[in-house]
Amino acid sequence: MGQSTTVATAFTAIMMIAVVSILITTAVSGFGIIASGITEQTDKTSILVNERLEFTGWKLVDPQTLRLNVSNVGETSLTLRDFDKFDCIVMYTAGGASSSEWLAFNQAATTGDYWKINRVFFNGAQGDEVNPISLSGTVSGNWDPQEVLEVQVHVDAVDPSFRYVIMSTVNGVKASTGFTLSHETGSATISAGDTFVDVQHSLGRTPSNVQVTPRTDTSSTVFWVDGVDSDGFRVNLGASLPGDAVFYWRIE
Amino acid sequence: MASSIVSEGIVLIAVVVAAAMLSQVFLTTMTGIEQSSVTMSERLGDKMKTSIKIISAVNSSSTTAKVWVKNTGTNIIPSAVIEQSDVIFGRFGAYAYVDYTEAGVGWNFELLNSEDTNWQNGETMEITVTAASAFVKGDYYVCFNTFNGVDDELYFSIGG
Repeated sequence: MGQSTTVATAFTAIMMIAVVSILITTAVSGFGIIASGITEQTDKTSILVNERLEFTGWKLVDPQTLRLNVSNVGETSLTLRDFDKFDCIVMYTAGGASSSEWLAFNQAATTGDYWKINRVFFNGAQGDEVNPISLSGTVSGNWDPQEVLEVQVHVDAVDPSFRYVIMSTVNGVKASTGFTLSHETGSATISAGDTFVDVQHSLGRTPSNVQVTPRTDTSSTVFWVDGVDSDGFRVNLGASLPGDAVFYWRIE
Repeated sequence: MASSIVSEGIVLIAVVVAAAMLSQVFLTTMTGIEQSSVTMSERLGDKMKTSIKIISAVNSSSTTAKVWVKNTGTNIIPSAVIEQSDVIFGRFGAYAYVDYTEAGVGWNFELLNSEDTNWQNGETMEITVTAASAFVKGDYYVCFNTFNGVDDELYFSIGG
């Protein structure tokens, strides 16, 4: 075997080694990138399967403030540090117009549009045992499975009528609830000399039943209701009275 | 003997030159393949780390609709790149591509709970789609597609 053959063989061997090493490096680097992506996808799927919220109750505190109970019915703990990445979208009507607003989490807020946490419950009692939640100063702790948060939602709109709320976690797991009043009560006064009073209600639909009870002695003067619709109704008197006539009403 | 050494030397030089040229071609090609492969892997990894979710969509006026989109992935998307996203919007069965616009007809966005101009994990973006004419009552479709082809869609209705 001549010297040229030896050199050629050596070059071929070196080239093959170089090619193989480049291929291996490329494959390993590519697999690493893809493997990290697959791990992330798997983690995300696991979160989506195990994370769940549910609205379990609501109460109108005042015309602009709503209290909602939200239960963690999933199997994951949600840290309060991430609550500024939660979404709270509230839909309401005010002044005859519909509005939808994304509210920011602001534990310190008392005015403006915001949502915050009031209290936490576990097994029906206020407070939590695991990863206790602290709401003063910088919020801390975890919202653990089976714990219920009492959340306060506030909008500055004038006399809003809340319709719907959507809440979403950092991972996009969401829950929603509507607000349909089953009934509403109140009182109305027909001023002395007048024969009717218009009453506004927030039922959001035309009531199927309107009950009116006079608190004042109307003697033989008849009274009735008309103009019942999704916004209000009118209480009428057969003749005006010398004094104010007060009526209790209940609609459903 | 001397002529044999000379010819062996010439062949040796020829072989060395040929091998050098071949190895140069091979290595250049292999480097190109390696770079393409790494780029492809990076793009794939990037896409796998990108995830979005449309939380809700409603009409906020007769010609505007709001869409809330959440970044549920770990890919950090700068505002300048968000503008390169695609929004497809319209009545069910008649939707169309909507152009990005700073104002007027089209779509624009606002990062809601972000401390900078990047759209990061967990942060929500409010997209406002402004139509040229008033919405009519019915079912609507919206699809948001990121710069690297990750999308989410939602059907919602207007009116009622």
